[in-house]
Amino acid sequence: MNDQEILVRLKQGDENTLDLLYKQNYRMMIKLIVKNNGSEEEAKDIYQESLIVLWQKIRDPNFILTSKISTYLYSICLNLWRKELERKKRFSYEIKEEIDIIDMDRDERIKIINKCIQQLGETCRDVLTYYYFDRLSMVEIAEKMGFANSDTSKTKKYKCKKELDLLVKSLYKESDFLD
Amino acid sequence: MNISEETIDSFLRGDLSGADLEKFNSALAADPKLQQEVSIQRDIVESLKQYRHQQLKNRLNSIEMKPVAVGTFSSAYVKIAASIGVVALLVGGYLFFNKNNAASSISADNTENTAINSEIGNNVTAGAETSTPTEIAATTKPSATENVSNVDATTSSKKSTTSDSKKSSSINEKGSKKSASYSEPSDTEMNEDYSVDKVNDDFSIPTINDGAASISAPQIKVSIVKEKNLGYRFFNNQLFLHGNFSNSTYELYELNNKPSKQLFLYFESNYYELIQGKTKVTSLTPITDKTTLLQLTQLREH
Repeated sequence: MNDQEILVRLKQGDENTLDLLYKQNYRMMIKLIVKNNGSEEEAKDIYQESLIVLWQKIRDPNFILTSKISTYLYSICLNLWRKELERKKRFSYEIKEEIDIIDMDRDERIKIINKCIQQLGETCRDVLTYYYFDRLSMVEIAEKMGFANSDTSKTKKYKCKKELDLLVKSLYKESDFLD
Repeated sequence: MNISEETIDSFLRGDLSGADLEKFNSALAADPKLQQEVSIQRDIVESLKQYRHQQLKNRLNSIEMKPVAVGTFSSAYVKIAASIGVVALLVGGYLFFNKNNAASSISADNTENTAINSEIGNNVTAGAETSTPTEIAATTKPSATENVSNVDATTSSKKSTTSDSKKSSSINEKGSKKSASYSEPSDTEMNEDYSVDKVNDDFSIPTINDGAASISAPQIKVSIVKEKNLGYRFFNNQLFLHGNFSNSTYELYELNNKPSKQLFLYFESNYYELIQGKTKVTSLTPITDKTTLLQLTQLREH
């Protein structure tokens, strides 16, 4: 597969092509970070993050790739790794700021939502995450999920979202997050 | 002003712009109830995104990679055995890992060997719920034609002897060594391209006909649709398998029975026939026909 084909498939949300890309560039990216004082574990993490950045970026209609995919990935990796190095540096000098109460509340709420996401059926989870994270269109969701058409995707998305909302809100009530 | 759920949704997905966005923002500023709702919805959308992010990460993480090296060929995944005019194809999450190598090893075999029945195991770990096996494209290499006469010699007798299998498995070992060296990339730096362009998405296998040299295997691409019930459909030369294939291996076999080829799925100790041309989702029922079952079991055991 050449770059162009890979891009087209990634755009369609083809996860296998993501796997392929991961394998193709693994060695190069790991080396890059290891050479820049990263451990192999860190390198792997950064590289995976970079691929996910690309995965999301590619869905942007304004996204135009002017270089080879590997070159682009290389630069994302490098950027993420620089940020990570800065973060590590800061961390060693400063004692972590106190987390304020509001944040604690939010963490608690996120935990609750995660519990609800776990409770959803797999189909619902897939439809919703494809919609919000992968930003797939209803037609693309139908293709990926094997639905009859985009109307099915729409209905499913609506119903699943409703289900999740209800789950979240009922648990919020229990925890007094709602007045 | 009344803001619909749909508008909140578009706002959070970042789909609102211009006047719509302005309208939304001013409504939001004026309405505490709406603020609360948007805040809840924002957390939900954020959590969904995080969930998917983690899912993709787990997926990549489940791909086994050798420490700072390209994975070497593991013969456990590719078993090549001689058999009666049959081409079997297996698909797996790990296939992609070895796809390159597998393809190259098989085409290497292709030049020396004849009937090839390739089998690639799929070892998706139960823990990694995201590692779904999916796609493989099967095409026939033109080079396969050259071997057809050869093929007949070993296969027309319809005896699949053990020596045949032994021969081919030893060839397989040779093949795997070959491909291991093939996939060894030179040390790469920024501008070096480790034969990325050479990566062929097609998994080439020779199709062997009983006698006739006409080879025209259609491209079969497999996609998995996660679902509770087993089913399948063919669409646009793609095979969509419906079901939960995350935890067990599934295998695809092609039987070249005259007059036509039949495609079979093996999954959780059952065989299913896949009829090409079914464009609507068709549910799968295990095959009960004894002759077919015998043929398939024999094939699978090789």
